[in-house]
Amino acid sequence: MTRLLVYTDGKPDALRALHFAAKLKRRLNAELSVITVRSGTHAAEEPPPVGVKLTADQRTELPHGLQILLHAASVLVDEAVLAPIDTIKIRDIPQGHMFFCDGAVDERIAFYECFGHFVEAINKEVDEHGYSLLIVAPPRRSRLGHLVAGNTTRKLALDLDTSLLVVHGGGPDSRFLICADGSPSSRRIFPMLKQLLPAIRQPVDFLYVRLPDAEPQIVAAAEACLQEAGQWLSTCQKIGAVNVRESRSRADTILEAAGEASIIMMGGSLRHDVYRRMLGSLPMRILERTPSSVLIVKRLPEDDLDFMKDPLTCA
Amino acid sequence: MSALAGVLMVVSYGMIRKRDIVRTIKATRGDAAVLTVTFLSTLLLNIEFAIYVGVLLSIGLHLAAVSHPRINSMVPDLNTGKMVESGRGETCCQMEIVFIEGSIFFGSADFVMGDLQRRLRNHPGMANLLIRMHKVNTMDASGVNILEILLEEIKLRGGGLFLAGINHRVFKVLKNSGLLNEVGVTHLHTTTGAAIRKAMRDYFYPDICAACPVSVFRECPQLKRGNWEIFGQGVQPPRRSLEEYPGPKTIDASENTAPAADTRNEKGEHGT
Repeated sequence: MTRLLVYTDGKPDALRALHFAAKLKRRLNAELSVITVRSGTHAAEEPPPVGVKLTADQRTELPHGLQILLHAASVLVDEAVLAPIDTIKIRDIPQGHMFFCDGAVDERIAFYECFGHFVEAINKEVDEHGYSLLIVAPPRRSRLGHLVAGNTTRKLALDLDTSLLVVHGGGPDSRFLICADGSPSSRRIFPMLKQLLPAIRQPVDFLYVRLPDAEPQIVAAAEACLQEAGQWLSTCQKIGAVNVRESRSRADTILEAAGEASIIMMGGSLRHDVYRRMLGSLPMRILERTPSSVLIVKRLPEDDLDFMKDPLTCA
Repeated sequence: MSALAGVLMVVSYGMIRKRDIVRTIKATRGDAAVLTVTFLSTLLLNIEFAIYVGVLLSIGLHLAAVSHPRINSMVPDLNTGKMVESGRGETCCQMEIVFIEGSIFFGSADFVMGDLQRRLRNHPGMANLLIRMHKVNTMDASGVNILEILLEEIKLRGGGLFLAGINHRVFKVLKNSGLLNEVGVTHLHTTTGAAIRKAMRDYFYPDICAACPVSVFRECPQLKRGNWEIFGQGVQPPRRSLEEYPGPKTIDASENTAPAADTRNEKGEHGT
């Protein structure tokens, strides 16, 4: 089962992530959890009542982090992912608090309030529960804003231990643009695409940006990958356009092809950490500039050919 | 001064918690040794050096304890598909599957290296090695060095090194050290089953499968018949004959026995 984790900080932008996550959850029948991370420690504020059932009136007195989660819960109730909340029971966890709410079907959705470093806290949850995708919708900031307040998406692109969906423009019904060039990095996309396929309504477009001086074996590997992927998606009746463009600037070409309301799907860079921190990577450059949503697949690399040939992968 | 000495004696006596001392002595021999040595050092040395002695001894004992990770040979259970210890000593003729439980770091590097090399020496005809790393929490440059040496040996044998179930921390070490490219990203797999199939498809010698006296995997009956299409339509066996094979050209059934395995059970969560 696909496990989704959605991050909220209570700001209006975070609503996009919640709506996106709710739709994915319904279509994939996935397991969904919500997390908020606050700096500092929970010792700095009045502890919430733990282990007792809290009604709606009693919940108004809860600390800020739990209020953020309750707001997220109300959004999920509106999306019909959660049943209307009657009472909640807060529990202590080592790094904060959590509570469960009943889902619309026979399941529970966990809400976590964690304290500490943003990426470390999320990685800890990912490590513990094996989430395959983190969904975030950070506010758009200028370069000066990034300098002052920090660049959340860059931090996540560098250090998050699972795949990352940054929601800006577009939604689950938008066009999916898969940037595949046959490299080990881009081949990581396909196992995730297979998981997401039931949630994708529109045909999936492929884009391969070929450098003018690309070596023949690299071009051949890319074309073989696109052909395999095309055959696979044809059997699933989800194949759209396969675009091969030649350009010196891959980032510009991808941005132009994606427009403003697509879901750009890319494999996380496999370059050395020092290189990525110093010079960045293609997904990071796309993330900084695109108005569309970006899904960076950071699964551990694995040969994808087996599953592409498997005829049972469309469901 | 006499009064102050008296106060100090009373205070220090009040700080002694007999229950904790008894518990520490009973807990482990290592804890008892640290307590005894630190106590004696306090009497014989300056107190700051005595504390150093105690801390260093604790670190040394901890390193000694974690320097022997569990390493077991594994095979899939043909009924359930789960990976289990190869209790009956049967292993594949072409691939050794080992499960490492613990960290691979400078303290355990020598032990891990010695164990894995011994396994390779015991099976001179085996060209592929699959290491299940689901329970390897951390790895450092010493671990990378071990894998590099094993990779060289495996490549000389004409096979591949496969890693299954590595976590992101270990993956980052492999990536940053450059070993990821040497091993090959397609040799890293989330599940043991996927790694086994990759090895079968790309590295197994059809002739050795045909001559192998055991059937360890579900795929073995088909592979013995030279049917590689179980991996996909049109997939052919690797074009290899025993002439290219660097190991012994005959299969010795007595060799096909795993090294003495730990008899404790391991409930593998990733099967074939």
